[in-house]
Amino acid sequence: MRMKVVSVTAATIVATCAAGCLESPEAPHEVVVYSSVDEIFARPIAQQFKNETGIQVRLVPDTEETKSTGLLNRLMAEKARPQADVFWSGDPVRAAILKSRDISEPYRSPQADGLPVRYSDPQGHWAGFSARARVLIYNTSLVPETERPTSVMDLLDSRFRGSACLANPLFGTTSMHAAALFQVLGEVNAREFFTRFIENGGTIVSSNGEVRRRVAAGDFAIGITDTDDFNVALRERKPVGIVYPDHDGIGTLVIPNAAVLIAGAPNPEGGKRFIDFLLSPETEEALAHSAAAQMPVRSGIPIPAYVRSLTEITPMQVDYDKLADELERLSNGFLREWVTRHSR
Amino acid sequence: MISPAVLEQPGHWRSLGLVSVLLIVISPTLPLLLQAFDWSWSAFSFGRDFVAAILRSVIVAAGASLCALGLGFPCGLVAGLYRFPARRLMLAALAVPLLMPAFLWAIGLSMLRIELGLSRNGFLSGASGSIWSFAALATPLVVFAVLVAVRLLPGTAIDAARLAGGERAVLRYAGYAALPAGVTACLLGGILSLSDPGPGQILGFSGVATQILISFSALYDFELAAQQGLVTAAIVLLAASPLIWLVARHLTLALLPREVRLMEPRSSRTADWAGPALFGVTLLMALLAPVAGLAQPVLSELWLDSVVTTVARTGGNTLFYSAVAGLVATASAVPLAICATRVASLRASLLAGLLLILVLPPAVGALGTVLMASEAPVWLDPIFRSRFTVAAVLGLRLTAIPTVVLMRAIGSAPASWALAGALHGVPLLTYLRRVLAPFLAGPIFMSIALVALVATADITTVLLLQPPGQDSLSIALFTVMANAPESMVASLCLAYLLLGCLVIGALMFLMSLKGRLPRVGR
Amino acid sequence: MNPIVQLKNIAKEFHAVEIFRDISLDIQSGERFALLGPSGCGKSTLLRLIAGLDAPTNGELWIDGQAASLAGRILLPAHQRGLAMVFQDLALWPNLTVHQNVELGLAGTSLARVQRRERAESALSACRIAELGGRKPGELSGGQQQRVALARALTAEPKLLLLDEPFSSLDIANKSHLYAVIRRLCTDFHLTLIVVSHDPLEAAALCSHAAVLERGRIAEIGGLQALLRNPVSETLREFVAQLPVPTRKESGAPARSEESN
Repeated sequence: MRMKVVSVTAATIVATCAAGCLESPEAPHEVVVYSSVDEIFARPIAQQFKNETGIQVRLVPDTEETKSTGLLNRLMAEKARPQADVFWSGDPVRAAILKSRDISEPYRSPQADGLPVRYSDPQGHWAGFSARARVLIYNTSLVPETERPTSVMDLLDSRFRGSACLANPLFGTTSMHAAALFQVLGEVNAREFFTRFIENGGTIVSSNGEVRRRVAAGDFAIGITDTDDFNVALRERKPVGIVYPDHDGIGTLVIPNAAVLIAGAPNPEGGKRFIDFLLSPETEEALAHSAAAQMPVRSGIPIPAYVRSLTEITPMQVDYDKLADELERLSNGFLREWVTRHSR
Repeated sequence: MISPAVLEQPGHWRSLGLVSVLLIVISPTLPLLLQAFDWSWSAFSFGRDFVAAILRSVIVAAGASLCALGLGFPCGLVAGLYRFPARRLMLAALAVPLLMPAFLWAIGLSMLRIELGLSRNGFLSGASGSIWSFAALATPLVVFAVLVAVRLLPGTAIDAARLAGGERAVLRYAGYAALPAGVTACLLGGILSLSDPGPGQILGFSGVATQILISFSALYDFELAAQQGLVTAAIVLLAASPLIWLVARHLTLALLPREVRLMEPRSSRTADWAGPALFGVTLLMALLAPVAGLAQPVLSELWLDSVVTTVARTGGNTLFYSAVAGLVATASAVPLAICATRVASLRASLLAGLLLILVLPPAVGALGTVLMASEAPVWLDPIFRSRFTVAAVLGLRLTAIPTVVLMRAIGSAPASWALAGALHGVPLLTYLRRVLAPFLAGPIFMSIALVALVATADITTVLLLQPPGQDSLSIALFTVMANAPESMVASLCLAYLLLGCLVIGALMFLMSLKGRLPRVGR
Repeated sequence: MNPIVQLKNIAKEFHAVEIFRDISLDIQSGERFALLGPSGCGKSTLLRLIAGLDAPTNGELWIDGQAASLAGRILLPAHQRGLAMVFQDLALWPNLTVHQNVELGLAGTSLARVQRRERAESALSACRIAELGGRKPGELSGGQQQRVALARALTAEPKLLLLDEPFSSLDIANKSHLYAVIRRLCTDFHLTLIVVSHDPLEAAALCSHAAVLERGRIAEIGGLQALLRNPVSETLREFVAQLPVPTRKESGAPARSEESN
């Protein structure tokens, strides 16, 4: 009896290991996509691509919520022999980092024709499409209409003393926002913004999702987050309001998605087809109608009523290609020290 | 023919075996560690901020360890010595937190705090909140380690204690005997917390794990991260070395001659209320409070379709990763425990080595493996880029857990068993197969189960190593967290918990078929 | 006649602590020999050296005319010495049944499975526990466990049987019965017996010859009756002094208390 148990256990172990080892890592007619866009938005697009082309998408999604080391690290470590064909980045900064480390390959998609050039890499390493924006989210139960914020500088105002929050500016889109503020406001003013934020009792939280959760729950009155995060709270009928900040000032930071072809990708043709699909007007429309509520960067794409058109807001004037360098400098310097000092 | 007597004799094979298996266990981390040594040491590794972060983390880890010991030790002791109502059910429930990534518990606590209207700077946030999150995960480790240690005690020793001073003496004797196992488990729990930045990020506490995360995810500087991991490990090992030496000396407790009967738990009127009360408090802290915060949004909407689709897509992978991780960790732990158990200095060195691996963030091993895979030829992909790779790296990192359990179990086996085998010409393999393996079956089973549960909660390794499209349920759950409606996230969390409960229930059923776990004789 | 066990200037140290030295001893084939001494004198260690479970630090050990151990080296492995041993803690394998315990004791032989089974059954019968074959050690009484250990030792048909204080925890009735069993088995199987004991009475019940170990040396050696009659070692003198007068006479010891009066 014991022999049987041992034999069955051994056979199971061997079989499971064999099943794990022998699977084909890369079957034909499929494309491997790493994505820092939240899975809930990325998977339907991948499915749509499969429906239209018959090419299977093996999606590896990422999220800043897990507080884990992310896919960008994986792409860097895989540089010698990549597994991914495409990196679908939620922002252009990660795409620019890949470019700076020779992990991306230039690709000019025929679908990029209608896309504004300011949202794409001049050398074609990444192409921007559907965008989110960095917005102010506030709790309507805690902030009366008369005190509604209009600018990111309102986070420094005494009426929000001790009740404003900001995601960790070393990670995610908040890091890009921080770099953009340094680019637009200049070193001195940007540093002052961060310093005064703390002086005003501001709190650093872990992510934009956390900003949304805690403002919606009334733990904070106001915070800065992304439009897709805000839209989730809105759909859940949370008592939240949105402000596209600095309409009359520095403008609102627009964060386009970026499609990147990986250098040395195992299936570059499949990758290019997927990028073509991402950059198509249909994908921009689909993302606008999804819960992500993303703004098409092309003009003339039909959008639902709850999605702002880019023409309705004042986009912050930033050089996206240079944000990665700015961010690297800040992450090694001011921002790192600021976060370390002010995280409890 | 190799004689089983070697198992009881000193010899170079012990150190050689130990080093060889440890090299395999540590191999995923080697690429980054070697790079770290090759690189000029940065101020970030030694700067005041970094050292202060280590100190803060050590304080949180120590706090979590002490809480886990304070709650888990009495629970394990009482559950090992006595029968009381719903004992099995409560033990099963206490295994659930092992499944959960600490940051999810932190989110639960954070939501609970808001629900209760407590202050942002109160005890449910910051360092104290982090201590709570980590303690919730370390407590079950302590409970199960103490439980196994108590159940391996000789029945006559328990009887003698009972005769000498009643139940108080029994508790004192069993407590003293199980303390090294409990302390080791809480040490493991505390050290696991050092490499996890999650709860700190959620609850507003910045420790060393956050610093390392910044190096990885904000600076994309693997070498710096590995270097910081090493510095942390060195400081932690230095600080913990007296404790490691102490527990290594007392971890093994050989049965006395003629002891072939192990203790049996018995009923007690006091335990009938004290057991459920102790477990009630522990479950409230380690399970119910965080779950209450997490599950509250489900009341508004249950996303059954999403749950079914996600579970169907990822369930198989999740089980595969967890089960094979358990097998790999235990398979590594068996030779390690055999090599080290009989020599106190080897036990201490082994514990130190395994704790070093635990201090390093999981990303060090995962990215090290990715680097090796990228340099390796394509034909090695089944080893470096398969589902097995994910499970193996998960398991190797957690080798410390089964090693502690198995050292305790092997230490309980009288030396004369192997010597009798040697006298009768029983070949080593026959002895291992027919005598030692059945004796260790219970602890081995428990080791596999513990590692499988803890491995399920590891997100980083699966995220960095999964073959594209082969994600696990925990990855699926956490990649939808950012922008999925709270009710959907809560539904998935509950599904995850329920599946975990099902697996734990199945494991306990299997154990009950097999009879009591650690068993010698009747 | 060649001695079956020959110890020549044997010494043993553990971590630089001397256990004994210059132990020289011949045990003849068929002899029933006791190693007596107080607890901690090293008699069990000496038995382990004879069994081949440990190597001496110095000296030579010969078994049946063959060099078995030299300083720091075991030349003849334990299972090739033609001996069996009953350990102080019996060392029964708890997960195996009584029958399996005894049968696994034949693992070192080249017997076929059927023959092994037969030998195991015959050993169990010889020890009068044939009906317990299906039970596990934990389900047996102390006396039954002793018999299982004895059966396992005998099943390999050794020339030399080593007993390491195996009966210390048994009641008198069980002990007497087992003494008779062992004496009978020694005669039936032409066994040489070496018993380690701290109890001269137990030794007297089983053995004809004895050596007394004290402070790492052999304090006295010879026929057991003679040793008890004229004890030189502290161990035997103290033992004899405590005996009630009739017992002393029975055991052959001088009535020293009378002399002192």
